[in-house]
Amino acid sequence: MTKSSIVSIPSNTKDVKIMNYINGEWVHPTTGTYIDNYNPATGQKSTPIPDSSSVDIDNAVQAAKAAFPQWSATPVAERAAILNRIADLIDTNCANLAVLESQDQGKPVIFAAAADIPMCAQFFRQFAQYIVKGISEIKSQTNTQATLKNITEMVPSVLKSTTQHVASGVAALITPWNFPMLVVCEKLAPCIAVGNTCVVKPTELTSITPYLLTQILQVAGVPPGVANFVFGTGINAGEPLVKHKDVRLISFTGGSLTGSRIGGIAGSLLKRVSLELGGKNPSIVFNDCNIEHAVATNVRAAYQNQGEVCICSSRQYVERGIYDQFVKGFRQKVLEEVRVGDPSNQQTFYGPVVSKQHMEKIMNYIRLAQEEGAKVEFLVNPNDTMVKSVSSDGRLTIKGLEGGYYIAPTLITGIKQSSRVVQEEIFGPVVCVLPFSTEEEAIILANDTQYGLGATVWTEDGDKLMRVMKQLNAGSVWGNSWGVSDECMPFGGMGCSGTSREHGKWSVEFFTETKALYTHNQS
Amino acid sequence: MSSTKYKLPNLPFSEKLIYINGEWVEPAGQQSAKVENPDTASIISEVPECTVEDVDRAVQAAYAAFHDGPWVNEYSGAQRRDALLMLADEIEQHRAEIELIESINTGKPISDVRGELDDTIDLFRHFAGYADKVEGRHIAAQTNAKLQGYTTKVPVGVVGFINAFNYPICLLAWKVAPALAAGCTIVFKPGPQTPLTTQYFAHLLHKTGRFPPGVFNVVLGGITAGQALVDHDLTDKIGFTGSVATGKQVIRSTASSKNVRSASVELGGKSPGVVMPDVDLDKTAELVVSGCMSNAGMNCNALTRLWVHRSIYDEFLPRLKNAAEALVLGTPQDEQTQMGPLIDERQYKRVLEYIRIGREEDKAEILTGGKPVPERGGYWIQPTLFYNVDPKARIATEEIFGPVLSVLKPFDSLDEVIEIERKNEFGLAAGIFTHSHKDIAKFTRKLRSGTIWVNNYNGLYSYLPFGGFRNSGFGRELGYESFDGYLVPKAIIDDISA
Repeated sequence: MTKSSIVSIPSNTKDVKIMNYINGEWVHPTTGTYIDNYNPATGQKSTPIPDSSSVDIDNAVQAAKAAFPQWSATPVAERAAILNRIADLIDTNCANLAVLESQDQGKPVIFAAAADIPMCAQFFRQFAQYIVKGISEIKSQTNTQATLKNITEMVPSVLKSTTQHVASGVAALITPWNFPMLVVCEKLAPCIAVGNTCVVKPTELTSITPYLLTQILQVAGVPPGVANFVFGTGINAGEPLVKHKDVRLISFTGGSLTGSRIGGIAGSLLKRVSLELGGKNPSIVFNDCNIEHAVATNVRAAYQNQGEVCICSSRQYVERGIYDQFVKGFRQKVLEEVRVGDPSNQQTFYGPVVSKQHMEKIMNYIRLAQEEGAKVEFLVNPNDTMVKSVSSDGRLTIKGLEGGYYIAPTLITGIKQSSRVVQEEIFGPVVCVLPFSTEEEAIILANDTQYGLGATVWTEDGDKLMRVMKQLNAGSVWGNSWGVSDECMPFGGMGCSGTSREHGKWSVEFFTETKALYTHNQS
Repeated sequence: MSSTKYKLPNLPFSEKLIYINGEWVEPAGQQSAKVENPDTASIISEVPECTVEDVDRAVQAAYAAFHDGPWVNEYSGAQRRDALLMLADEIEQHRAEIELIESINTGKPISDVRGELDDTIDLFRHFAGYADKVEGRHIAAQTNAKLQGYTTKVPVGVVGFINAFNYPICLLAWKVAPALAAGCTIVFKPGPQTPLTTQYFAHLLHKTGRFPPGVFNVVLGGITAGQALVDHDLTDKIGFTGSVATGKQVIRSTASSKNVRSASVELGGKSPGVVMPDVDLDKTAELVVSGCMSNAGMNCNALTRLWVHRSIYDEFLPRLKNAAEALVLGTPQDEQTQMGPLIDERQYKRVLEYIRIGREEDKAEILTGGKPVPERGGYWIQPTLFYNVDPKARIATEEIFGPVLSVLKPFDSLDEVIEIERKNEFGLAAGIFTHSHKDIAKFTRKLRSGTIWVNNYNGLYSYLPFGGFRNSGFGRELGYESFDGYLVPKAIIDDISA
């Protein structure tokens, strides 16, 4: 592929050929082999992914290492200009990127175009602005009594101290398949903004838009070696990357199991690590909520992006006084408005789940709930002409897309708090609704999992809202809302949901090393 | 005949002397002023009226202490912190005496004074915590990495304080604690009616032995001393609590002397309360009455104009009446007394005049009270509620500074209340009583008031800023913001290229 000053993003995955991007060049994996990749909407094969190995990883890390001294010394205004150009290029190519994201991941095109892709650009603009404004260091000056000349003589003196944030070195960015391009940008933007270089290893399930991003980076003028992309599996590419002696820090978003493994490796090698993991996020709906608003938002929070959202409201606790009304309203809302099918169709609310394996995993949970005697409903409108059939364990067969990985909007009631279906992250369009009686009980139930990523509270009583929000053990808590964010706020989880916070100044803190500098003089 | 069983204790300092430059000294002039117990209108003490010369002496001492003394030039933040902590301990040890003196001098119920001493002690400890945490910023400059830009924060310098009479020791703490923590030196003038606890404070400060001479100085008196302090060129900042008229004069003085000085002024309020239909009426009536009548209404953030929703208006009024009439008036030093007298004759006459204006000019109706209480001998007025008051009435818009609440005509929508309150001359505080989080969000977002209470009133805390918009003044007391107000940033740019 030749270098170009224009980015040409095709509109179909068939026209994309994914290659590794190392030191500013697109190259084949050294093994020469590729992994099969599937379009989840159809179950058909799509563009294959390089099956990279530790050799490719080493090449990429070396490139990043070599590029580090110059990039970290590049004046802030220049780095910011590059980041702003990346943002502009993402915006310009939004439509095609959204189509390809949808084909690779399964999410509806309209959501990718309206939310995902624009947010990618925002991350670059935000961190460009951040570094231009200047990272604020703490400076202190104090009078002190100290020994200067010899051990016994204390003299009045002045101590001046300042912090200094510096770039850390080569970072490993390992990203998931639910928001393929978004999470790459979320990490890449602050990482290179502060002067680091990196190797990005996106999940093999959704590598297309990350690959296309490399074309944007090239045209935007990111120097060779600053951002390298190596595609492949966790075992063959991800693990060598995490273990590589020249990788100083790792930012990972994905499942808790993999996160635990990465954390273990990073810890043993004394690398700094940020883990953003899963969630089993509660929603608490009180009698005195705005029920229409609560139902509408909770439906969205359950099923948007196929429920493949780390902060999805997958456990919904409803106060007994409105329980029946809520469930009825929820059911009705889904039947009326949530259509599952072709992600390129404007009417589709959510598309297929990302892979066959993931679909099987979700259906296992559905079957488990059925075995436990819970009430499991598949909320598919009988008049929905897109749906050919619904299997007994929730799989949808969509007309014309019979090979695709579709799961019905699943509502589970009559299930115990201790059930695995309530406790474990399913990451699909499956929601459990349980009743509660008192405020205290709701808080206990909400906090009762190993996770702690997100939570929502629904009540019109202003005091109760704040009181309850403050007692929930979750990194982000929403009152009468879900999923909205302010870019300066931290994002991350408690417990098995993760170990760190990112976004805003938290990302800057993570990606930099902080030093303390002291000068000390006699007054 | 009112009780004389509570007498001023023996004071550990001489009432004839003033504290300047670490010593108790004779004032320059001969003038003195009597100090009253407003419960009985009896004289309890006599203190000097300072002259221009006294004030100059005090400011010179503060100036030398700041520029040449060890307080800022040698002491670390930690040393200033420890000095303040020790001072807090001294106040705590002697609090019983201070409480009695304050109650006798101001007429405040002793139970209220105890809360004020809790706050006073807490404030010195709270701001001690900032003394060793002064931070500047260091920013790597943009394209030219060879330049280093950083800020350092330095204390503003010599601060002149003019205090009001309504919370003598407590407002002293509001002002002095952050200013000392920041490394400033001070000349402090209490309200002329209430000098005693300020003097006691100076005595305790001296007793700690941790404050070098000149760091804290007191001048006593009224207009002469006040004007001299406000005009003095060697001050760097003036902190003032008082009326709008005097406050404006203070600001003018800081601009018209040889040396421009900064100011922080807290000038009063006409704070509105809003009662929506979804609240517990009994509980809310108590909160409203206490919000207005606390300190006999001599409280700049008192709730003095009340909006009550039409749908609960008739049910709410009798509850307000009962709550106001239930207040126990009596000897302030008795435990069960809940409300005291006005501070002096001038204030007493002013409040009675406003009650007359309410009746005769504003044509407002009285729900309860409206009369003085002559049996006690001092400056007592009953808790007074007017109702159906026009929002534009004089009693509803002008600060009375007494135990008088105007319950306005009933309202229908919160939007109309917010629109009217936009034109409130003052903007110090406000309160809303409702559980609707939408209404809370709207009210707290739209009202330009320095403090907004939701389902409570009057609580102020060391860690939250207090101050006003518009004629309530500018600058903040309490909170980190007040501490920061006693610091000034310097920016230093350094070329570190080879």
